[in-house]
Amino acid sequence: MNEEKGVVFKIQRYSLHDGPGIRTLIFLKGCPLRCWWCFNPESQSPGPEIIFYREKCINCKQCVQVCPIPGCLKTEDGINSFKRELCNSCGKCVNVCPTGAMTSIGKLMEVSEVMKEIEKDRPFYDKSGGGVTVSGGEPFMQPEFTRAILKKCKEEGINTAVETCGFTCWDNIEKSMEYIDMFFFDLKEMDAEKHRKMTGVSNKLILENAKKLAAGGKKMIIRMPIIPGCNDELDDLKAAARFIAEELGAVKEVHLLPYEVIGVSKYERMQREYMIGDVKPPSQEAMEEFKGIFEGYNLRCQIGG
Amino acid sequence: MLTRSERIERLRKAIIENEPVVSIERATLVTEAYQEFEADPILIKRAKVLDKLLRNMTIFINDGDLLVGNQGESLRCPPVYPENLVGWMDDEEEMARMEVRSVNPLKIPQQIRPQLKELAQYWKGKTLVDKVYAVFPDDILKARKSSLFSVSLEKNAVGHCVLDYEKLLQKGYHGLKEEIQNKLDKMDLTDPKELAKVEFLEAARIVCDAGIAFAERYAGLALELAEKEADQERKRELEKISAMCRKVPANPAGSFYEAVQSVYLAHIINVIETNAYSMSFGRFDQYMYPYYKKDIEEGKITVQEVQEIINCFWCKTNEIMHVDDSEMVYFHGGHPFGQHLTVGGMTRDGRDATNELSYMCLDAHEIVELYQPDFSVRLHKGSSYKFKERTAEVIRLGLGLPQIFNDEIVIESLMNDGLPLEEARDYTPTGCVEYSTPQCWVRSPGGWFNVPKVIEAVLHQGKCALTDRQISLNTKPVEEIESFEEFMELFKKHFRHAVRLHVIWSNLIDNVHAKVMPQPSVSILTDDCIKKGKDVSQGGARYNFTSPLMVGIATAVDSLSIIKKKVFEERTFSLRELVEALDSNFKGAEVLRARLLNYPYRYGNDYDEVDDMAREISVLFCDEFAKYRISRENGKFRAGFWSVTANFNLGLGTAASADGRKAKEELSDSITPNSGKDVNGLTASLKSAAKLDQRRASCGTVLNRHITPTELQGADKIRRFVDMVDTYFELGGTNLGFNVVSAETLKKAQQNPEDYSGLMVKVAGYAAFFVELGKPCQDALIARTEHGLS
Ligand code: SF4
Ligand code: SF4
Repeated sequence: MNEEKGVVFKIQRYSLHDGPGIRTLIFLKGCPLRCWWCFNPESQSPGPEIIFYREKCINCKQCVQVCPIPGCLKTEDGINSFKRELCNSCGKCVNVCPTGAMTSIGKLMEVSEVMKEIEKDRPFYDKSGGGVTVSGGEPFMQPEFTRAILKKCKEEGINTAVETCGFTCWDNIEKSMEYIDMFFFDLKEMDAEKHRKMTGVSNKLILENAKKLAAGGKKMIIRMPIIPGCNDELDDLKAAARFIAEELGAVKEVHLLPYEVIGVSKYERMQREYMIGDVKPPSQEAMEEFKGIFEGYNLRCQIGG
Repeated sequence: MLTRSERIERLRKAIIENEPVVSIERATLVTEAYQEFEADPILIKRAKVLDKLLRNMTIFINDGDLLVGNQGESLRCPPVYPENLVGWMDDEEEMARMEVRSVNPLKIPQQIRPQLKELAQYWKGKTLVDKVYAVFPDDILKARKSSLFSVSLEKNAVGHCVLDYEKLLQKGYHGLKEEIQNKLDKMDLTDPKELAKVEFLEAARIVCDAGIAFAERYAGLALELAEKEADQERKRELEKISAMCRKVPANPAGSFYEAVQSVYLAHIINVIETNAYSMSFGRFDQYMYPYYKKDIEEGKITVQEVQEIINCFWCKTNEIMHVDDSEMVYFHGGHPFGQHLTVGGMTRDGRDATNELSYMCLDAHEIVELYQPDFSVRLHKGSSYKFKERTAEVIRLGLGLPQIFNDEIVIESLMNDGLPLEEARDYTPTGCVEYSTPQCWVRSPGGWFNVPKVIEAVLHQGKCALTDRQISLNTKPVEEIESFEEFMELFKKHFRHAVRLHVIWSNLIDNVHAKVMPQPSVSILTDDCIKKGKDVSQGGARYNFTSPLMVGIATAVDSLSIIKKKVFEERTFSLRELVEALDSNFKGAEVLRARLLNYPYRYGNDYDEVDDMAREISVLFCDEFAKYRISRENGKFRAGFWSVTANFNLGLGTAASADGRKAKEELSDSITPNSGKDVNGLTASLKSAAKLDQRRASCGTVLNRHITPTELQGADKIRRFVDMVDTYFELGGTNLGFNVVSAETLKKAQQNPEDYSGLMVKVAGYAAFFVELGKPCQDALIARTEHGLS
């Protein structure tokens, strides 16, 4: 049988967040949403892609010499430049670049390769009650791959968690359900129109899936990013709290994740516009106030993941 | 939140605010004594030198202090030890460097300089370092000068020991004298072997008397001060100090307070005897406990009073300092003195040894917030979670200490060295890490061994690439090396040769120590010196060791990994091209250097193939040294994998290396991965380190990790931290030290040192003031990967 393969954005060991104990986070590539504030814009598109880190480049021209596409990589006034719209992601430049300035983001991996990385921290999971959290991107953009990893983890007795934006057909979630110990479910905004504007999709499917999942009997924690000027109006948050309390009866815990400044450079590198400009992180007081709203609905609420 | 009393606040302030100034008094007294006792054999001479010092040196009592015992003429004025080395004393340029250097600057007052010069004239050719260098044959001298190995107590007496304080507290100096007398009485002096012991035993008796006289002087001074004292409370304190010093360390201690004073006076006497580093306090919570328990049970003292005495003790250890020249200072950035004190662990019969005093020492560390003592916590499988949690809390304070040790592995490694189980369980780290007991005499550091320099020798037919000196075997040119296997064979050949030289060098130094630097004062508290009638330098201890220390493992392994992959597998460049790039220090070879720096398969990232190389080299190191014996009582070499700051000094003598490091830059620290090159997370670096056979390193291993304060925020995170440490220990790790700071903070401290004079970090095995470290060391600390997500 051919092994399931998937595109992995990155694997991060020794995480103290995203579930109990010491964990390894598997970030899969590809996401159906395009949130304005996305912290990892390079994880959004589903396939591997080439990124150029100008600050690492020493203008040695090795990449220019191997690139098969005229004009894609060129040196002007001794400075290297990269036109991503011409790039076919062949990876030749990555192989020769001495500094890592040309890098490929996203790696096609087999489940067994991923498992090998996961197994490396096994002693730490065993001691701490930790395990694996599959995140993204959106794990259910690669439903078979995600399921295969989680299934394997359960066979090996490793605790599993999934962080999802909920925008996927219910079937994908349902089929993986038995291999998942807990869910982190992202909720961005209750107002459908606002949601569409800021993330590119409607929240209808997300809210429906949230309800189904809450009824599914697995531990589930709601996560809400708090983006000043986008979704931090008191009414937005009250609506979310009410929804959780009234419609997601089994959910008892909410994490509020304050926006963190990443700067525009990540977006520039992707040659994309950063929609929220110079938003500042919310104040501690504001976060405490928001927390109070959720607590008012008898929900445990923590600031940060 | 624990708070400082006004007394501790004052004592602490005096330490932080006192500018270190060189004190000349000791040098003058010692020189007079050497002239006066010229005819005496060396042991008697050294004993009489100590006697003269203790009877004549300036003594003082700090305002408000509950404990007495001082090293120099005034607070934080390190004395001069002319019998060790005098090179700097008539060298104006060197003195100028010592005053302005960024690491441990020391003021040398103009008015004492003529005297220093005069003393230097007298001592030239007579000092320890002169006598050591006089015996080095040419090949050893060359290797030493080219940093194949470096610094093994050529300029210092041996320290890194823990003394039998339990015995001191039970017997006092009078009791020791009796033991010495009994021994003398029973000897048959017609037997030449017995006759040879008389010199030591006489010397031992002299130092006991000297110690008693020294304490008497404090008793007198305290009484004098008490008479003048207007404050009634302080008056009573001084009277108590006076009565105490009449009693101890001459006699057995009768209370907790007396026990602490007795140990501190014995300690300071040993510090005055030689300038040996890392005279350690050992298992303070164990040998003090019976006195604590009795006093508390009898209602003679309150817990608060005990805490205050411990806090004073903590402050006191920060008064002791060294005069280091420009070479030695590289090893001791931040004025450490390596006075190791450890708590917790298991008892001699294998139970959990943690007691109330263990916790009170952790509290003292939090309250006093200074860099001494070198403080550590011993953990074993039976340590309680509560104790580990409290340890983590103190680590979170960011003082760079305590370090954590893993009993199970340390005990196993000491048993491999021939110690019986019960003695091994009673180990204590001394100095930075090296494990010892009052029955062991370990000459440590027994020389830092430069592993990357061995690769340099392979690449240059046995020559030092910086000086062209032939420092190793003349082997084939790199063009003729056909495979990585062949490369490794050559590496091992040079490695073995370097170890041979190291062994000879080290034993030569050992022999000189026995002839010119016996240490009768530490000998009387080292088992079985009195019984054997031998000084520690002559093998009086029950177990004798010398500890060679392996430096630059990550630098070496990363270099080998690159050579294997890029030269022999992918053939990206040839060995000759690599050597040329290294010889030019990468001038014109920037692209090649970028490739080297960007190479990912490095030690510290949990890649078996790479880590196996680290394991192989460390085993080679242990195996090779295990083939040889040391001079003292046919003892053993015991390996250690740590560098303190020797990686900077050895780096200065090492050409550019294949991992992309430039010539003269520092080598990697201890078994810590190369700065910033461990990118797979904290657990990956722990796993890499645990793949070394740390049981073989019975002189210790050090793994330093940075951790951000948020990783220790709250009970839940602390639990995960403890789980992480426990897992590392179960995997075979021995020691962990943490720097809990952000890179941001360090950068700010580098730019505005005046605003951060109290910032503490951990360098190798000890904590130091960050601003007192040299710039390269500061840079390395900043660069070292910060783990975890805040
Ligand atoms: S991936 Fe291929 S096409 Fe794209 S820049 Fe690199 S060499 Fe050119
Ligand atoms: S190969 Fe790398 S370093 Fe050289 S010019 Fe291209 S991107 Fe820059």
